[in-house]
Amino acid sequence: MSKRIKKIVKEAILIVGITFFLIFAFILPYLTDIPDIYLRNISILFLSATLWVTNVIPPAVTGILIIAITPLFNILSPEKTFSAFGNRAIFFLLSAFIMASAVFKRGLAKKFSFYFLKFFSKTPFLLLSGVFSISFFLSLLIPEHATAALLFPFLLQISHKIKNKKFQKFLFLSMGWGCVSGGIGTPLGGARAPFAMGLYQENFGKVITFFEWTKYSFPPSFIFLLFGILYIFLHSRSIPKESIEIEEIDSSFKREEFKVLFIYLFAIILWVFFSDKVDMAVTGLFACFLLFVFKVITWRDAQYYVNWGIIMMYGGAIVLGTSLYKSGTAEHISYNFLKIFIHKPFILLFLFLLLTLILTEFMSNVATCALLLPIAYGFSNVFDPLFLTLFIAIASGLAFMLPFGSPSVAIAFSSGKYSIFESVKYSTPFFIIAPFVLYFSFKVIFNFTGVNL
Amino acid sequence: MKKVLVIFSGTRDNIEIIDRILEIEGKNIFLKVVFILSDAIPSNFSTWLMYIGFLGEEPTKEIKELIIKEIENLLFEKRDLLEKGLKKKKVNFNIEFLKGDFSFLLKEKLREEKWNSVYTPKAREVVIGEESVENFDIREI
Repeated sequence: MSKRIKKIVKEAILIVGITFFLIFAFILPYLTDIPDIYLRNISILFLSATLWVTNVIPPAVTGILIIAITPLFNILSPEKTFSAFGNRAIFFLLSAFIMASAVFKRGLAKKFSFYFLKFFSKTPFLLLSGVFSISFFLSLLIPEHATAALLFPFLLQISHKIKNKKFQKFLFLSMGWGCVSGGIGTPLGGARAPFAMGLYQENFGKVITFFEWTKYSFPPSFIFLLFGILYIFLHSRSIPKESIEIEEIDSSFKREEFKVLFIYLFAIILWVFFSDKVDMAVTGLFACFLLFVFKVITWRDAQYYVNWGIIMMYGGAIVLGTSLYKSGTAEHISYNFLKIFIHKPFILLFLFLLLTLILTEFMSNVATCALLLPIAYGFSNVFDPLFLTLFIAIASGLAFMLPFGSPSVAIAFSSGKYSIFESVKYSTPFFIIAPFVLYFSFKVIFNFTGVNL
Repeated sequence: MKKVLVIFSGTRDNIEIIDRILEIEGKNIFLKVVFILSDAIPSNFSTWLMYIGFLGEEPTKEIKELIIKEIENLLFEKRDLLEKGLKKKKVNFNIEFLKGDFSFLLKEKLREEKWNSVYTPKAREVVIGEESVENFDIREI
């Protein structure tokens, strides 16, 4: 798509979105008998969707706007609006990002990746599946975009030694796919899982533990790992065999790196085995405290390595989600626009899934989740709300194809080794199998949907 | 002797288009090839990573520097290949490598000489930008 067409499409979306916002907020309340609160809430939904899709302002600024406009439109009281920031999920998210900054600063992951990939560098298939796997496993432990940022310089070095173009392309594609696949495996992989956990708690008053989330999210994630390796195997058959010499790095482990390792292990043990006794946000914050106390990172590092805008994005998203559900707007939208599918839950679910998978390719994962999850909650008397939370949050993390939706795919794309067209061409199989993987994981493994599909 | 200016602007420029230019213009030419590494590519990308991808300031800076270096390397590789090819073809040529604002540098190059023709793989409207440069015979290839 040329720049000019992109600009026209962006402007058209912006004009349509703002027009809808104005109509719903200021004109329809005088013309229909639909409660004003629903119309004003829908107007905010249109406005935020428009701003998140077009990115005319940074998503964090859209978050600020949502927080300001929700009490202004009398949808939630200022107290209720701001109380969304007190949610445990936001502190978990913060701690996950601060912990990742220690991994980033201390270069521990780079050393692990070095040993791992050195072992796998004998053939193109081994190296590519090694890149996929290390991206996958690191994204289970730190946000997927941090994994991509960590591995990117290392892979650039390796790519300079590779002659075959397809091999070069797959090196970066494998990293992007591995990050996306691993990123959905635990709540640590990105902001959408903590957001969904927070929204679930705000609206249903129940807590999802780290272990409970991972129990459901890891199987689909692992299936993507297996599929990815198989897919790489099929493609690597057409790549001429070459052994890649991986440049030596300073491979001795330093004291600070051991500290990071032990603090991470401590947090993981608490998250996995004691999440019913110690809240996951408490564990995360305590681990951060240890990182600071043991001088692994300084506050300055936390400032530079963590993007604090995520807090505003998160705040806006959770306020939007809570206002949509608590005011009854989500239920109103769901029943009025999707009621024909109420007795066909399979089709309803498929529609939600398709919409999530498409939207998340074009906009931020959290934004996709923030727009669709509250609407899906409108059907919480049909489906188990926990199922809806997991289903939408996991699906919104599956942005394999385009660099617009997932920062890890964007970092891979920035290598300049392949075009957008090639990214779509090679990543389409992941997009196609995504619905089957999710269906298989939830229905076949756990028989967990809350309804007979 | 005709004076022909060719502008390359990014990582995916195809230097084989030089063969097509030689087909059109013949060999009795002076070929000036300019590679412009535009600031906008890494800057736009790092803005995206930071504000939309929520990557921290430090990792974003590191990635931006890497991208610039990588694009530079790719352009140098292309420049060397082109130099070799044109020497073989015995074409009178000069290759220049510039970094900065694409439109500004392009306009500077356009005004530097009285070019008989100007070629660029970028779309005409992208090259011209907001300022009209209709006096120049810019061809998209």
